[in-house]
Amino acid sequence: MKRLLLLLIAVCTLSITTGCWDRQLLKNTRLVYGVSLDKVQNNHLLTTVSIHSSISSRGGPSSPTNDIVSSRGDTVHETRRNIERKISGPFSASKTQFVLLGNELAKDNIYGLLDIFYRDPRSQLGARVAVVDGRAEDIIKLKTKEETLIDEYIWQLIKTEEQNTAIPASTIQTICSNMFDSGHDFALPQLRISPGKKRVELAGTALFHGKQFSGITLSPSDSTLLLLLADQKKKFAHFTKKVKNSKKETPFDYVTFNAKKAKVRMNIDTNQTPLKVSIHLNIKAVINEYPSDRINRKGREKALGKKLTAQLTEQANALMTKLQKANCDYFGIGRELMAYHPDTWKKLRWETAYRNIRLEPKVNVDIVGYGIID
Amino acid sequence: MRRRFLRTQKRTKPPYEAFPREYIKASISLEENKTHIENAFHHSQDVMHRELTWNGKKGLLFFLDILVDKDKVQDDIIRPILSAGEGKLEEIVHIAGIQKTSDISKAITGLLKGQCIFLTEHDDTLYLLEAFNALGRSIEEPANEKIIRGSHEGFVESLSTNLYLLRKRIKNPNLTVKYITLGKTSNTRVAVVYLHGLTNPQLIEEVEKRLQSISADSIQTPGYIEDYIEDNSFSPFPQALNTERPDKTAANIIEGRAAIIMEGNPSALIVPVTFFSFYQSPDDFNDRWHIGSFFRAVRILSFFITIVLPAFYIAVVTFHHEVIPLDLIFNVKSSLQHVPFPPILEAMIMQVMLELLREAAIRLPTPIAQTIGIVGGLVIGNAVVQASLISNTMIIIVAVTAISSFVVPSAEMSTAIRLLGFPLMIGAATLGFFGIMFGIILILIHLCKLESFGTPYFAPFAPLRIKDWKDAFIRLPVWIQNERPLDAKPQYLKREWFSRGWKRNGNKK
Repeated sequence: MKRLLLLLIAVCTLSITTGCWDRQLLKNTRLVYGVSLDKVQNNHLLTTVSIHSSISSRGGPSSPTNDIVSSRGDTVHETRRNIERKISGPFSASKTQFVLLGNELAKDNIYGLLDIFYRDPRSQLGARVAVVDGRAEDIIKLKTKEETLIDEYIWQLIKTEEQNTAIPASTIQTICSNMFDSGHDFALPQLRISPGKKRVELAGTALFHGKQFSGITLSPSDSTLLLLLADQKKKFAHFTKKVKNSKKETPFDYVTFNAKKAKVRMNIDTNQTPLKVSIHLNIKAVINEYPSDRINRKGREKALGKKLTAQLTEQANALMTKLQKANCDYFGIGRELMAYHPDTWKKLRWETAYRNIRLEPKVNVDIVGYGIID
Repeated sequence: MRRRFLRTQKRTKPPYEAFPREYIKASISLEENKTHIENAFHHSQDVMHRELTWNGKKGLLFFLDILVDKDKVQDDIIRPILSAGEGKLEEIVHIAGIQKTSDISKAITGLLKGQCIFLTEHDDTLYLLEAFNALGRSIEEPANEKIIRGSHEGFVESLSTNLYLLRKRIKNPNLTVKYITLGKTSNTRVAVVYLHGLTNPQLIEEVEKRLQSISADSIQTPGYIEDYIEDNSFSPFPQALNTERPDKTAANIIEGRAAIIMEGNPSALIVPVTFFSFYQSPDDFNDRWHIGSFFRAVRILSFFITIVLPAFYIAVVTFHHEVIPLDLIFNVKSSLQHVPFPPILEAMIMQVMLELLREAAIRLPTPIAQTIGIVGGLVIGNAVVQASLISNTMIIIVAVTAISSFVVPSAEMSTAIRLLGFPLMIGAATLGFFGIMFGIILILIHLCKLESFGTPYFAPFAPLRIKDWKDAFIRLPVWIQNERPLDAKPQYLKREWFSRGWKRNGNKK
């Protein structure tokens, strides 16, 4: 009896004397779907968020809307606080799907912008990060794109392009370790507002060095090749190449194929100076579009494969130059060196040495399929 | 103060107790014996007697009018006595059960069991003649333990019929029945049934000891017995399996358990039991084993849903909304938008409403119960959402929880786990997932600690015995389950020997 009474008292006191209660009711929170960060005058930060909510007639079906709010401040958290003053409930970043960084801002140290995401246990580390050519705020301020809300529109765009191997799948979590790794760099998708000013489009891939945007952007086609070379192929990887030179510029000169399988082998030759790194990419291609000819005749597919091999190798070589110019060690060669050739690594100053190494890509295309016709 | 009062009460013997249990020798005088018996019943008017002449002496036949079969008394006792007039009584009457005694209190007990007493002048021998009139309903399928295929017999209110149902299933002289009379006032006959030589003798000893030590006025239902003999009365989990199915009882007896059956109640209490026996149904063995296993798994899943689902939902919408998938969160959020209550209150209201409906529907006759179902389920359910008092999602959660709690074949376990959901909900509302985890850990600790008649309640999970999982989480073909489960500690484990020898021989050829 006494024990029971003691227990009862203990439970009562405990429930009364608890200090902070981290309860956060879902119905009160304002869920932020997308965030954009920009640099404005006096090095101030400008955060613009898209808050997703739904207007529901009582009990009836609800229709989603989004609320665009922006505010200035010196740190990301300060801007969040300022935003919170303008909205009806607690700011919740737990469902953030993407973070857009303005071009200017990305050229500074981007870790300072993402730090809050790593510290807050409620934040969504799966959120995609992208760079915007121009001001990021402008994209979110489009608010809706036809029937779709802008935040969903961007999120779907990024996801689809990831599946097409057009941009690297870089979330807040995955880029974190690369930011601090001197032997491995990363790249982020770059978006822009298309000239018509009403639509968002994918510009390509922004190459980063360390924590900063190098200013060099790869075209979507180059990005696909880069990702294949880095063994990050997703569901599809399409290329369109010119293989004929007829008088008229018609689709008949071109072939489009999908890399069904891509195998990569990287070889580092430490005996040579400068360091020689050869990357062999073996693509098993399936033709998607080739209006000009039939392929199933003897030797034709081999001839076509050879043409594609030459073209892709050439493109890869140009790609390597761009990478070295951006000083972006996307393949993690430095990390390989640290792991397998520590002596060489110690001798090199990777910061400058990377630009001078010999990157030798070799692409080989085998055509293994050509659709259901032929 | 109260305790002392109770103690003094205990010492004096209440005058209404059934009868003096001590031996009282019958007198030689017929008149004296008659007075004694009539006094014992306080001249109750259903105690009848008939005067007969036997061997030239005056004789009296006593019987309780309403307990005996009148035809039997007339045709098999009175008529032979009248026509013979003399001889040995045992050879004259057409009655199987005849006892001779000189103990008047035994005779009085006999009268209460539907026996007739025959006594003669100048003789202290009393003859007890069996003439019990077994009235009762016929054997039907128990309404709360229906199955699809298999035996549709159920226990009835008569102990002898129930024992007959068991004997019919286990035709074995080792099937032992021990009678114990419980309840000083109600004088209820209770039978302990077990298989001698298989059931652990210590278990039987323990069961008898616990039954014998019951010292109470009356035993009305097996629930009384359960309360008196179970190990831990404060546990939410039932520690004896209550079933109205003879096939289930017989199967448990053959596993080395004991069944306690009470006169006047159509159910058997099976001890010792494990947690998983509440999730077994004869249906599992009527179907093929994959189907049986699937249903077994569904039932175990229902346990988790019942206990955790409302708590999980509350925790998610109060603390951890980051775990809701993106495509779902806006649906949930919009359904919560106008609800004035915190989720815990929402859940409590709905759960209480559900219990009210259930309780109301049980008592009412079927046609009205249907109305209750419609009013409660459709009208209230719909209106409550329309009025934005409860969110749509919460209705779904509560409904799924209720449905899955009714999946358990045992009604007691079903209620027990539904009630267990409440503390977990409170835990979830105060501490989120931590609270649920604390709750589950406490429940698990309790389950692991709990014993039923000295055997672990949570076997074969704790103590772990993977061999016995063959009939716990799933049900494998019976020829794989060739050993009895260990938890009841039967004297022999092996129960099946190489029944499919034909298969191996056939393959060799």
